[in-house]
Amino acid sequence: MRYKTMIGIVSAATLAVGLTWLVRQTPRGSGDDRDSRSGALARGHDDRSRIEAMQRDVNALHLSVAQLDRQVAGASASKDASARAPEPSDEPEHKPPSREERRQAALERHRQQIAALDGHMRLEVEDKVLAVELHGELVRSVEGLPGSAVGSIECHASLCRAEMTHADPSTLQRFMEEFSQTGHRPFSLFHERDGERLKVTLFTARSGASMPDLANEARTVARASQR
Amino acid sequence: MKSLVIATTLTLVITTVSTSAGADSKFYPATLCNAIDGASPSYWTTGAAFNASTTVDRYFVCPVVRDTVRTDGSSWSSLVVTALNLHPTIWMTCFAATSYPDDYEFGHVDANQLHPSSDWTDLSFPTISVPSTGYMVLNCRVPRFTGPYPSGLASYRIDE
Repeated sequence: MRYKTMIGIVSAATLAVGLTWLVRQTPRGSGDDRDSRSGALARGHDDRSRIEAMQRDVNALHLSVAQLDRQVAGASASKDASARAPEPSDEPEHKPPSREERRQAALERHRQQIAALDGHMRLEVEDKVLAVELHGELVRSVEGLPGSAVGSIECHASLCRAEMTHADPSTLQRFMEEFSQTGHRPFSLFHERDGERLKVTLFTARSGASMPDLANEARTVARASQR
Repeated sequence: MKSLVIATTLTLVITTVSTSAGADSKFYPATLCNAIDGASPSYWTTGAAFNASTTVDRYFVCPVVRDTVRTDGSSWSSLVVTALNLHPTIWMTCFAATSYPDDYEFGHVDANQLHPSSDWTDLSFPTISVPSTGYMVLNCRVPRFTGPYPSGLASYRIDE
């Protein structure tokens, strides 16, 4: 009911605007052309009649809009009143997800993104030489960082993946600073709290290459899983 | 009359939808950025922010307003920062990060770098994931000033 009312208001308002525009666009005699003054006067009279008719229409539409406004206000008030006193229903109550449910859903998506980049990397040929090179860079980057450790590393043609742990966010930040100054590679890093430590999955591109677009990877993985 | 009402309503709806379907782009001057060590960057009236320190590299943290929550869980279509690194040896690194609201539970960071002695350059970041209630931030480690002109950021922009 309310939806139809809104459509009515929008339509009426559009018509009112359109008619007003038409009124303004209607040509008016300039009065400069003395030779055709009588003809112009006659046309002017016709124009005035049309304008007055249009004005009446516009006024009628204004009244209709005002009336519809009052109806909408009334409908809203009755809806508010019914919202304050809900009627008992047999339908199951729809609860919004709890904070923990939202957290789990977000974490699941976070892990899906890691899987998407993994999927991209594994399409390429493995490169063990690059893995050794990256291992050296990572070890140099965590030297002097208590609680930081380098785990497994896997490299393929354009992308590498490394598992790491760090003591806390500030240590992770220091690692990122060090690594960016040693490797000069673009990288993408996922971190997740694991007890008192941070578990990190690092993806980095071969020097000169750019990181794959995660949005594209996610779409590719989604399409593959639908097949 | 009924068909006229339907036609005008449809026209209005189509016009509204086509107007609002454009990319959600925002452009920010780098004067929105703050240095995390508490020292103020050198802000210029052009909207740029520079590291005027001759002794330390500074982290500039720049807010990225998230006003469109994408259904695919991704952060942005594009995020670009325009940066200047005039230091002769130190690389500038910029990080685009997304975090769960408590900033520690889990998150995702993209890093991109600007080599030494680089003129103004657009550094872009691939799309990363962001939790539905998460937030986004951009930060850059801006090398120290060696003269005659400091390193810094001019602006950044996002298409959500």
